[in-house]
This record gives sequence, C-alpha cells and structure tokens, in this order.
Amino acid sequence: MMPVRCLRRLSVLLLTLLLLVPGTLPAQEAQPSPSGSNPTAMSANEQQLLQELGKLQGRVTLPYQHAGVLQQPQGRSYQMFHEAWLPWIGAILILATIVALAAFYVYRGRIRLREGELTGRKILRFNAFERLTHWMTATSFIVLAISGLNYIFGKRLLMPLLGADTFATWSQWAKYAHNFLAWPFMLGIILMFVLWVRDNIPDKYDIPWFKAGGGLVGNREPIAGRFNAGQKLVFWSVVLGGILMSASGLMLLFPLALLDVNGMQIAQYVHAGVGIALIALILGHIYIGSIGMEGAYGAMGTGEIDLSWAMRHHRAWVEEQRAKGRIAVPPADRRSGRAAPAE
Amino acid sequence: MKVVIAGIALAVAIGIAVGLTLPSAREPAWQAFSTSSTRVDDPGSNLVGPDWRPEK
Amino acid sequence: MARMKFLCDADRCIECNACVTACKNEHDVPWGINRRRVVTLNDGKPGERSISMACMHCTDAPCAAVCPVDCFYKTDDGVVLHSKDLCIGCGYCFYACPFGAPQYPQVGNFGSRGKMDKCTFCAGGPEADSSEEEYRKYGRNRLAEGKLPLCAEMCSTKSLLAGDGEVIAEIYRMRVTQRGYGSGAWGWQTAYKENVT
Repeated sequence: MMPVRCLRRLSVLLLTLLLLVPGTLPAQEAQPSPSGSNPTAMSANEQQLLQELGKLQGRVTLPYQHAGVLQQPQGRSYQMFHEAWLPWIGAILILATIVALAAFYVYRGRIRLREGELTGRKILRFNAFERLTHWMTATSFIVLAISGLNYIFGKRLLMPLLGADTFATWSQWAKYAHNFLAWPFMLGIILMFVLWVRDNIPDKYDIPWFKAGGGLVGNREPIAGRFNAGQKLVFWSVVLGGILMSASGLMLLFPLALLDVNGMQIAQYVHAGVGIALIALILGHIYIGSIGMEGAYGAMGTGEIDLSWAMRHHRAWVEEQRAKGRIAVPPADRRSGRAAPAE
Repeated sequence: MKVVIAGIALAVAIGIAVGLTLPSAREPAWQAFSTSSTRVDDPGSNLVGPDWRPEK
Repeated sequence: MARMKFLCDADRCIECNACVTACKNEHDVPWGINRRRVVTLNDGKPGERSISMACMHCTDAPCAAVCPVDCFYKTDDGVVLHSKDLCIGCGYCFYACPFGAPQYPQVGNFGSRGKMDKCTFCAGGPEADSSEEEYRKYGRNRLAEGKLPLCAEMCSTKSLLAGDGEVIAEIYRMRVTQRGYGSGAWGWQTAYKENVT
C-alpha cells in the first residue's frame, strides 16, 4: 500500500519538474536560457500573489513597516468609490431629500396651529442643558457637513468659482474645522445619548403612530410619549450613525495608527456613506423643526411650549408629567389635534 | 435664543481647545521614520519647507 | 511625445538600494521621506524577490482623481506631478495610490500632515524649470536638462529602467528573449493596464 502511494507521488513530482523546464512552457516565446533553466521559476510571481493575497506585502529596511506594501490594487477600487460612486450617490440622495421636502411642503404646507388653540400656558419641554447640548452638536454637525461635502463636491462646484488657490486655502481651513469640530460633535453624541435614551426606548405608542402615518398624512391623531416614533427614529439614527462616524473618523484622524492602508479605505467608505445618510436625515429634521411645523421650534428655541401643543403632539408625556406633579395644570380639554411628525 | 448662541460658542470653544492640543499628537517624519543612529546633523528643510520642525 | 514610465526588472534587482540613495541625494530628500524604496517579497526564503518601487506615474492616476483640491497635473511626457502650494495634506492620495508613493513630512494626524511629497520622475513641479524655488519644493529637474531619473541611471544591475514606456518595454522584451525567462513588468497591469512579457 505505502510504496504504491510513494511511487505515485514521485511520478507526480517528476511530471511537475518536467513541466517547469523552459521550452516546455508554452506561455513564453523566449529561447531556452544559456544555462537551460529558469533560475527564478520558483520565485514570487506578481499576478499569482495578487490573485492569492490581493496585495503584495514584503519587507523594507525603512523603520515604518507600512512602506512594505509593494502594491495594493485596492487603491483603484478606492478611486472608483471616491470619484464615481460617492459623488453620484451623495448628490442624488441629498437632492432627492430636498425635492421630497419641497414636494411635501407644497402638498401639506406648514402644519399650523388651529385658531384659538393656544392656551398661553407654557410648559418646559427641554431644559437649558438639553438645549445647550442640542445646539452644540447642531453647530458642529452643520460645519462638519459643509466641510465634509467640500471634500466631495468642492472641486466640482466651488473650485471653478473661486479659482484653485483660493479654493485650496478655503479647503485647508475647512479641513481644520472638520478635524477640530469633530470633538464637540462626539461629545454631543455621548451627552444626547445619556440625556434622551430613557425617553427613546420603543413603547406601545410607536406602532400605532406609524400606522397613523405619524399625522403627516391623513387625519388620524396618534398619541405619543415624550418622543414619538419618528423622533425616536431620528434619535437612534443619530446615535448609531454618530458612533459610526466617530469611530471611523478617529481612524481617519490618526492615519495608519491602528489600521493599514486598506483599513483606512474601509474607514473612509463608512465615514462618507454614513455621513451622506446623516446629512439627508438631518435635512428632514431641520425642515420639520423649523418651517415644517408651527410651534415646534419653541421646544428647542426657548425650551417652552404651549400646553395645547404638547397635548396635541405628546399627550402621553404631558399626562405622565402631570401625574408626577411636574406641571400643575387642570386636566386639559381632551381635544387634541394631529400628532407630531418627527421634529 | 441665548442657549442657541451659547451652544454655538461652546462648540467653537471646544473646537479651538482641541485645535490647540491636537497638534501635540503629531511628530515630524524625520523623528518618526528614521532611526536615531542616522541623525547626525540638522534634518534640513528641502522639499518640506521651513515648518519642518515645529518644536524648534 | 514620449510616455515616461518606470520598469523594474525583478529578475535583476539585488536590493542594493542604490536607487534609493541616488534619489535621496539628488533631491536632498530629508529623513523619513522616501520617494523610492526597495521591497523584498518572501524575504529570506527560497524564491525571494526584490522590487524597487516609487510613483509609477499611472495612466488615469488614482491620486490625481481623488485629490479634493485637484492639485495634480500630468505633463506632456505623461509624468504625474503635483503642486505643493495647493496640497492640503489630507492623505487621500496615499489611500488611492496602489504603490504607496505619497509621503508626508508630519506623522500623527489628518489635520496637519504637511505638504505631500512624492517621486517627480526627476521633473520638478509647476515652478519655472530648474529654478531655486522648484528645487526647494520638488528637487532637481533632470528632465528639463535632458537627463533621465537618477535612480535608474544609478542602478547597479540595470534592473530599474526609466524612460519612454515603449523603449523600456522593448529593452525588457529583448532581455527576456535572450535570457529565456522574465517575471513581467511589476506593477504595470495596475498602473498602465497593460503588461510586458
């Protein structure tokens, strides 16, 4: 048994060796070399290594080992992503959001308060610290969004207007702003999570809220707690998106500290993709919190809202507050209007 | 409105504070990417400009 | 017009690093910045191979494509150059470059990596040819003097070829025919979407 197997192996080996002798190789039209053999036949081969490993990694005598990557064709995929996919997907997603919001505004108009609805009684919705956190994060986000979009669309839209030199100077400052304001943003994400996670845990009102279309379409008036299901969706998208942005952003902020060059590319895919999605989401958030709905801005502006507005949009929350004795008001009339869409 | 402005001011203040501290996390390539035994003289400034050695 | 390319004959490279030294000296390249380097694959094992690598001056260069301030340009000779006045040091070109060519004077954060530096094919930059300013920013402009890159000129085994792509490809083809074997032009498929056998 054993000798037979050994013999078979030997013959396979011999055959392989025979095939390696130049001249029997059909691929190269080269003459047999003077020595009659190919001394590098067994050496590292570019195409073979690329197929097996995806990139060529070797050793360098330089003190920084990332220089040992001889070739990473993934750079071409990064080019493809950065110059073909990203600008198109980004532009389409953001423009589509703006068009959708404009169409909604035309269809629904500003969601107004009803005649004589205001009671004049104000209740506190967001305290000063909550509002401070919101506006700090909002400021950072807007600057981050603009300077971030500048990396993608700047050279396409701004550069022809400003000229190469002015645009380079502007981009340099935009980059500093992006790096430095990333930190108040990360802090803001943590604070907002701590402040609002309690009120954003899904509850029994969420599914009926979605079924009623959030009060955005139709005339049903869903009940909601402190935050309705749409606001919860915004909260969780911002928190999860913010975490992804922070993690990938920190990787990009300290290049090659933890990741190799391919890891940096992936960090950028995540950062740019999630960033575009967050910008589209926040455009909707800004719309409904400002021109989209009368009375909504006050919650974050002054922190106080009219009792009737609160009853109409967050009845469960008002009743809970009243039960806790935080707002001393007579049981208000049960007339309630449409529910609040996501702010 | 006061809180809105305070929020903007806070974001800018933190940004500036980070902007002043973050550059300490950086190192010139001559220090990071050359072994100390090779540093026998001034690293020079050709190709990298005069801002080569920020801590000088 | 010639289309300038590098070709490293991997069957000849002996990792002597003469190309690296020649480049460093010619352009007064500071420590920690390496426009050219030699990478050894399978180091110390049978089948070890060394390849000298720098910017390949790619066709449809990825660095130039991803640059957010469009600081790259291509000369009539097909050499990919950039302007250090426009560069903002974001590092995108390093992620896009298949060959790890871009170098930065600062390490540690995205905010301030300094002006990117890379192989210029000894062709300087956007400043006036062979001017003092060009030398300070980009090094010697040998092409303007009618000379080819010094790394290839200095190569002790004539492994590294620099010059018109068609001419050096022909030289390489002749070598392969004469000696009977060759491992192809390393990096050419990725850089120029063509290969030489």
